[in-house]
Amino acid sequence: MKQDKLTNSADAISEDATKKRRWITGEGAVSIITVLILVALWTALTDSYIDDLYFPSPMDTIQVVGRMEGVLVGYFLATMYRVVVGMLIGAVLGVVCGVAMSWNKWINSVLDPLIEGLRPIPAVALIPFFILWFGIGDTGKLILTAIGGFTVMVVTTLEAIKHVSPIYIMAARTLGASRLEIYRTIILPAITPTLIGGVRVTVALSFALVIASEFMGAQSGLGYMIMLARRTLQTDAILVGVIIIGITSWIVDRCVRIVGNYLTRWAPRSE
Amino acid sequence: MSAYISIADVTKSFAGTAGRIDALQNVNLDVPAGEFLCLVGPSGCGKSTLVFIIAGLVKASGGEVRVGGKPVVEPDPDRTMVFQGDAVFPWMTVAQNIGYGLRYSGVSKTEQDQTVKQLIDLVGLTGFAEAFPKELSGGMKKRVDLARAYATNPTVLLMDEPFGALDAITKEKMQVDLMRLSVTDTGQRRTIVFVTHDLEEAIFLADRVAVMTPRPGAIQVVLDVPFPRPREASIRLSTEFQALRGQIRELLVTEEEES
Ligand SMILES: Nc1ncnc2c1ncn2[C@@H]1O[C@H](COP(=O)(O)OP(=O)(O)OP(=O)(O)O)[C@@H](O)[C@H]1O
Ligand SMILES: [Mg+2]
Repeated sequence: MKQDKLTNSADAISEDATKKRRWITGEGAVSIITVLILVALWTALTDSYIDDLYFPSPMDTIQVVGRMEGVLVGYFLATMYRVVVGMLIGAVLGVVCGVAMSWNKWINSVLDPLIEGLRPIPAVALIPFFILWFGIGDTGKLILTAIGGFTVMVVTTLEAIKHVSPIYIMAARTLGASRLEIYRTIILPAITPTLIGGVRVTVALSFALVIASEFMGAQSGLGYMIMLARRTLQTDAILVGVIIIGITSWIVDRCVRIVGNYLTRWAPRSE
Repeated sequence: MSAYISIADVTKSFAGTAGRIDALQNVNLDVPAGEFLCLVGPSGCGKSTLVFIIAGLVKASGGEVRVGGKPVVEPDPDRTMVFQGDAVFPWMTVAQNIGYGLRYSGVSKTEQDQTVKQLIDLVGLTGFAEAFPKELSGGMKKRVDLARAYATNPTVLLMDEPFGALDAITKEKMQVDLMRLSVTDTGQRRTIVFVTHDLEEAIFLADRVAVMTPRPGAIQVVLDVPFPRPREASIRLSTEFQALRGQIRELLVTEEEES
């Protein structure tokens, strides 16, 4: 009897235990159909109205991939390295600084003007300086990407800590937790859902920053490839670059979401 | 009868968005060791604020609170609290929540696990040790909160409308559990300050009921509850019980009208 009541109330908010897991849902099928219609439209339009020079057909695009395979992999890896490493450095530093700033008001006073000075400047505007200082190798691109991720994550972290419900902190204090322990066991888990959102913004921003800096000066990378292709009007190569960037950015975001969902599996969700 | 918790001339004002709010004004109250004291008063009269001050979570603007002779300056796990709102950590399982205070108590891990297991059974959450709070009902969460407050075996328990959101039957059951748990491991009675707006609950549980005035809150009167323990649920129906209830109600209503 009691057991019954408990399971019933659980059903209302989380999954219905009797519902079977299917490999594809109705919503998923609709999304796939949308993609198929778009590809069909693309094929039809490039076959008839649109000149290959302005927008290549799906066939051309696939052929380019075959032709460029060797360089493509190298360029792809170069870009991924810059995105992932730059982003990680920036995000980790951002979270660490955000936490440190909320921990100690002196650290806050030192870092706040630096961050406020950096935040309003679009990081892309700094690219010419970075080329001047660090050349067209990886260093400048990594630092630039890290700066972008840092600003997003430091602001996200500070905002998130500010909004941790005081009742949790009070409860932990009455149970004997020290300040360090409160940060470790209350504040960090409480801000994780917000931080995941910040990381997703950082992923998108990091791709944008790396590609932009590869446009302006590089010897490898997908941005560099698109730049070269533009000079020679190889629109099919440009499109391949764009598609690869889009797909990988989506995959990285997807990975962040999967890890994020696992880390916040305790959080009630409204879907 | 010496005071274990002594509240002397405690005053508290807040700088609210709409100007200064005087929440408490000259609160004086002594709670002897082992007493179950219920605090009743109109909404907004400063009951939660007073309990926070006793816990050491909020600083009084004036006056002093002493517990066991020592002035309260910060929270202490020997003085745990059940909050009016939901304070169960959503990112911890039921077992982790209940064991939270034990992590800092210096007892061994095996002993911690044992205590947690006992408490889970005691509050009727057997089988839910690894569940996250989102999978629990409101009443079940409150039981996690209670178990967590008992886990460190405190001598003082501060409870701020812990059963306010529960249905009548669950509430009665939890009141009975509370009576059972109001004794420490060594058989001593805990000193309990219990805030409620349910007068029957106050009389059923308390040794004494302190009635507060509307804001700025002060102690209007402290009434003795003469019923012997253990108390049966049926005493609520007795004429003496109802007479006491009527008396407290009258106190609250007249004060409300005067202000
Ligand atoms: N942090 C705060 N800042 C400003 N004002 C506050 C704060 N906390 C409480 N107050 C004010 O102090 C007064 C007393 O609040 P408190 O929460 O102690 O009331 P209460 O007696 O517990 O009420 P209830 O029965 O509704 O829970 C209220 O008028 C409230 O507006
Ligand atoms: Mg209150």
